[in-house]
Amino acid sequence: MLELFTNPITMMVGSLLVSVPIIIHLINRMRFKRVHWAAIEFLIKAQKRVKRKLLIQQLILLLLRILMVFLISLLLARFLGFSGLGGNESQKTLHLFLLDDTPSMGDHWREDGEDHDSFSLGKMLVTEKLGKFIVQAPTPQYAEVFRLSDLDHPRSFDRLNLQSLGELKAWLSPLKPSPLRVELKLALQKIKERIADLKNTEVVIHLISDFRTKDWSGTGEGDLNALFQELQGSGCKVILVDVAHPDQGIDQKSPLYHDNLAILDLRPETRIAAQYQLIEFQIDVANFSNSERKNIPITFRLNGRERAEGMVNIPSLKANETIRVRTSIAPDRLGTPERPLDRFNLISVHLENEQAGLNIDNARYCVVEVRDKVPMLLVEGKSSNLKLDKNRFVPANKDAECFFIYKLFADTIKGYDVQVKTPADLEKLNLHDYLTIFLCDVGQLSNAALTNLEEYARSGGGVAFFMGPDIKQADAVFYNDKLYRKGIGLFPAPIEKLPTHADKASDDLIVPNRWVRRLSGQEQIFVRNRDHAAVESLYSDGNKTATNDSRGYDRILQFVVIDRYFPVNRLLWKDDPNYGAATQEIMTLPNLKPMSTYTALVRNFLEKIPINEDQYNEYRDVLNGYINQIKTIADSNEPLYTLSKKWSDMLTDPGDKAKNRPSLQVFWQKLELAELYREALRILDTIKYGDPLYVSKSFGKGRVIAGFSSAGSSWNDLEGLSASHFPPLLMSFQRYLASASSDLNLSIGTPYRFELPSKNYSPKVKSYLLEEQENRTPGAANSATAVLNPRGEETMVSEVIVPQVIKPITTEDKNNTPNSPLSPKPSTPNNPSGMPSAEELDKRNVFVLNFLDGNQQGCYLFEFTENRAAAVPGGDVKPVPDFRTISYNINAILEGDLKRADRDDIRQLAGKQVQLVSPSSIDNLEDELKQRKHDLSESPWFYLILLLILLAEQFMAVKLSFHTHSHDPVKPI
Amino acid sequence: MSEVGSLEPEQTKVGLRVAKADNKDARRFFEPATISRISSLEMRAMQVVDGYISGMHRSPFFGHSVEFVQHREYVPGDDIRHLDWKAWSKTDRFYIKQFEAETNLRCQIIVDVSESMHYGNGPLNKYNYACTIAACLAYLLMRQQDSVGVFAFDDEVRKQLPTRSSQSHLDAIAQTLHVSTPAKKTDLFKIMRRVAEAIPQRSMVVVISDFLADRPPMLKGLEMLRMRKNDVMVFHVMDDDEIDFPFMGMTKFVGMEELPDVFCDPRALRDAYIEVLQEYLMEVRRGCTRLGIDYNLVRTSEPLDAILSKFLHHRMANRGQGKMVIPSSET
Repeated sequence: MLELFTNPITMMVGSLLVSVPIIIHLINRMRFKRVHWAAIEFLIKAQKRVKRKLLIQQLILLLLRILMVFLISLLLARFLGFSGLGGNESQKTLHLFLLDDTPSMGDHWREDGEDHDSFSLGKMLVTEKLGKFIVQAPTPQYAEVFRLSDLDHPRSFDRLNLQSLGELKAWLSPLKPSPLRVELKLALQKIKERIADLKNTEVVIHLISDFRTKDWSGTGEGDLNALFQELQGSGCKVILVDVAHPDQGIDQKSPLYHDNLAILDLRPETRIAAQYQLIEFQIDVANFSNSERKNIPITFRLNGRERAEGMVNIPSLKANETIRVRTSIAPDRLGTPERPLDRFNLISVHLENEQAGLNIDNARYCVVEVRDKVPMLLVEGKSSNLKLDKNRFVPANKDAECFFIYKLFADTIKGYDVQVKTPADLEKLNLHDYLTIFLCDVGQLSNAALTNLEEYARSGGGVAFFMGPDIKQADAVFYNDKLYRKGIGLFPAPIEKLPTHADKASDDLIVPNRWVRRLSGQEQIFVRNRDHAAVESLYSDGNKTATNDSRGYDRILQFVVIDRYFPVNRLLWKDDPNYGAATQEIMTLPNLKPMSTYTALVRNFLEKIPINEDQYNEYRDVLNGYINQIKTIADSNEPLYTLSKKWSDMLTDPGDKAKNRPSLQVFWQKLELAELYREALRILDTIKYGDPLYVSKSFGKGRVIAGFSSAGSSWNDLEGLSASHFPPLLMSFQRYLASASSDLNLSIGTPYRFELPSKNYSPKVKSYLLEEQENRTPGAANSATAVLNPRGEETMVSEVIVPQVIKPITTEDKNNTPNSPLSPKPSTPNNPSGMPSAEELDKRNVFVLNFLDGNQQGCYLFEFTENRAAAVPGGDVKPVPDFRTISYNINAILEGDLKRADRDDIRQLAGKQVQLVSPSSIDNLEDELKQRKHDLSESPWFYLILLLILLAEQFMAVKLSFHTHSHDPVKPI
Repeated sequence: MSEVGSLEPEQTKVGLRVAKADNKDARRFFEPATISRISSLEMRAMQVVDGYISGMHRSPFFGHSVEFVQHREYVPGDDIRHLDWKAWSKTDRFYIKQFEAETNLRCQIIVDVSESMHYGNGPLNKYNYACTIAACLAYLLMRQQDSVGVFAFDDEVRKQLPTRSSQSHLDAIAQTLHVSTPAKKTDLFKIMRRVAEAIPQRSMVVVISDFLADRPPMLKGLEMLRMRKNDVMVFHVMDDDEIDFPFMGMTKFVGMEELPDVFCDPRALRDAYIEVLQEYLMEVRRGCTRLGIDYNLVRTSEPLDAILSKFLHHRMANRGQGKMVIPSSET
């Protein structure tokens, strides 16, 4: 009971004083005057008349006085209320400050002539407000600060006092927003683990954040809600401090936010380029605001030096829209034997002069390796078609399947170091040296070669397969069993055992058939998706804008006749989990089956068209015309394309208003005919498209293209009319495959996994950070021109060796730490990333490096040491450095959007018990954090009640004549 | 005045000049200032009174007087001295001239000397005040040759003094009023009946009491006096404390005249007390008015001379009106 009062002794005295009115009453009864009274009769009568009323009034008066004394006792004893009976009066309190230092906290603004940002405001609130409140609490208070970017290293502070608060301030002072994006649920999980073992400690979690919509909505909502509930369920008090600007106060809904422009992506068309080769860069810029922005300049820096020719100006960018612009530049810096890392050219683009919002998302980095010539590998399946020229294999003649490719890249297009090898060479070569690999007419590969090739592709390489006459039935089996492997292998599709027209008798018909087909008017190759990256450049101009004449390349394809090819087994292929997703058809051959194959299918469908229903009266005549024509064609022996053409016309007939001819497009768009329309489209695809000609697949971080015909002239007319289609197609494929490794442009903090064959590599790795450093020389108005990129080169000097994190994966390790981050992930059909299975890793005995420290914006270079040179017979055993690069940029898509979460949504997600405060309302926490106990003396209601009781007592006292009126005769005792 | 002039007057805080004399000295009742103030006034009977000597008061009998009343035909036996010869000469008939006779007044002063009359917080208690009134009135009446008798009573007539008009009778009156040991109770009905029986002729009766007794018998006793054609005057003497009830603090009121004690907070009871008191006073006043009794409520704090002066002026101004109230049974 004593804890109910600040001054319990006063209350004890007060309790005794409660009896004072009763005692006074009793004393008054004892002290009386004796008067001999004649008119006693009147007194007796008066007493009888008012006795009951008097008794009640006097009792009320007595009670009022007792109550008055009691209330005054409560007031003086400072009654704390029954809520004070928590039993936590001497319990220590642990304050966990969860400081959001994600990039969005760098949201800056200018106010009163000074620059401010959300993170600085948050730090100030921690030290100047929350901290100062906490140190005034009477019970022991401890603090730990968790930064979202470094949850594994929280900073603990001893019992908070002014000294430790000073330490906290000094520790926070140099901190700046991290470029690393970390999800809040990870932090809450960490805090949950932190407080799991705490006993007899009250925990208060202060989340200092900007509460952006992207963080407080979306996929993680459920987890976040559950974590908040768990934390609050375990007794934690959660305080959310919103430091975003403008300060809206806690009662405002739909808070305002700053406009922001962000560069979402910077992607080069290739990761390795020849010196002076013009490389196209693709830049995605987003306008995260509600107003249109005009004239947005984007500057371009190469190795820190601004390059005017790369500058792009976006004339207009509408609100909440993203635009993709392109620019080209030719990196020119080559490495030297002394400075081999110089060949990695750091590219950056910058948005200039943004007044408010985030600065960190105004820059984006990537790296391009520049070589004298871009290495490219051609693998010829039949070594007899090769010859040695200056100790290098070259195609001996046109019979070599790689002949046209070699000629194109080695002779026609300069800048490529085209190396021709045999399949056996794949076992030993370090394929990572090559930008792309083309396998032409390769029958089978050894396991080592296959593993090497898969590792290359998985880690970001580009591989293209072309079939050819040397691929026999057994080889087809190899392709399906080893390369395709039910979808998880390198090859994108299962093939039939034999190519079309496999019999020799067909050879004689090849040339005549070519002309028949060319003159038939039938399209020979269908491009399934012109927006596919592998063919996109064929249909766009230099700026990658779609040309007006979109059929330009299709006209060329009109004369391309594919004589032979390996058909894809579509039945098996449809079971491929990657079909339609990671695996896509690029080009498809026409369906050359006889008309009779589809007659029944077509007729059955036509019967389903409800032409006789009254509601379709207006379409009946037109539809009947098409149906009759299609039936006629279907019953004929005409080529199938005539049917598909008419079928397509039936589905897309726009009508003619002038002739009052209804549009069949409107007919097929009717809701009740949707299913029928889908079936019609399926039939059109069936009768129009035949076997795939080119198929692409994403494999790991790399890309694969499979061409089911030959790259040489054996199965094609590449020496004839088809010759013109092949070079642009190859160049487009090359561009597509070379840009495979652009996935290595990662968001900061994303772990990256390197896998290297342990037999070929040393376990030592050096890593470097290649970044820009702004030149802050006084007087340098434009930092972009003043930088001149000395920074990257300086950084390269400071090498970092990370030997302990790279180690061979053995069976023992795998068994001991099955869930370790270093452990290989199992590869399943449902794992389209194509990561190898544990067994495969074990067999290959690779070194694995899980790179987790990509926490800075820029490019990371990794220098592995390759021991392959020791395998050369007679050669010196000389370690060769093998460089890999990864670019890290902030996650601008999530961090650049500064829209703030609705406060109701925050409360709904974090629970209604949480306290949500803003800088303007943070003082409301003062009493709570100071643990200042409120007593009755602070309640105006108490005084009001006391006043009312006093008034009532006075009223009753006067009424009962204990107080006299001025005109009353008074006869004192 | 010379008889009482030896007494030293003293100014009291209530404005009364009281005789500074021993309580045992009966002459204290002759209050010089009061007597001085009223000596120039006359005590007039409000109605006809019987007397045996000529005086200033109207008499129910015709006699020698200057006040002609009427003519009456002569009948044998009439005193021929009263024949109006002028009327005979004019009418040749005998008429007797009749004149209103003036007589002296016999006044009975009845003073309550019970225990309750001994309450008083001022210089004079009710008893002293009543006796002073009685003495002053007696002096006044005797000075105008009226005869005065006195009854002092409590539960019975303690002392009685027959009516006399000699100046020496004053001392006897004072001695009669002086009662050293008051009795406990008052029985007004019994007293009134006895007084009524003791008065042979209709007289002026002055009752001075606090009337702290049962109202019905008291009023019945007064009625009895009135029914005997007496001119009754009542001086209802009350102390200020009894009217204002100004007590504070817990008080034990010890009942006089064998009444029980009351322990109370007087402030709490004051309103109710005053209410009950007013009801009582109203009842007494109404009863007196109904009986044609001249009722005077006097406070012991009020100056006695002013009270008596006011009373006497009132009597003089309303002289003769009493005829209208109580019709005479005699012609």
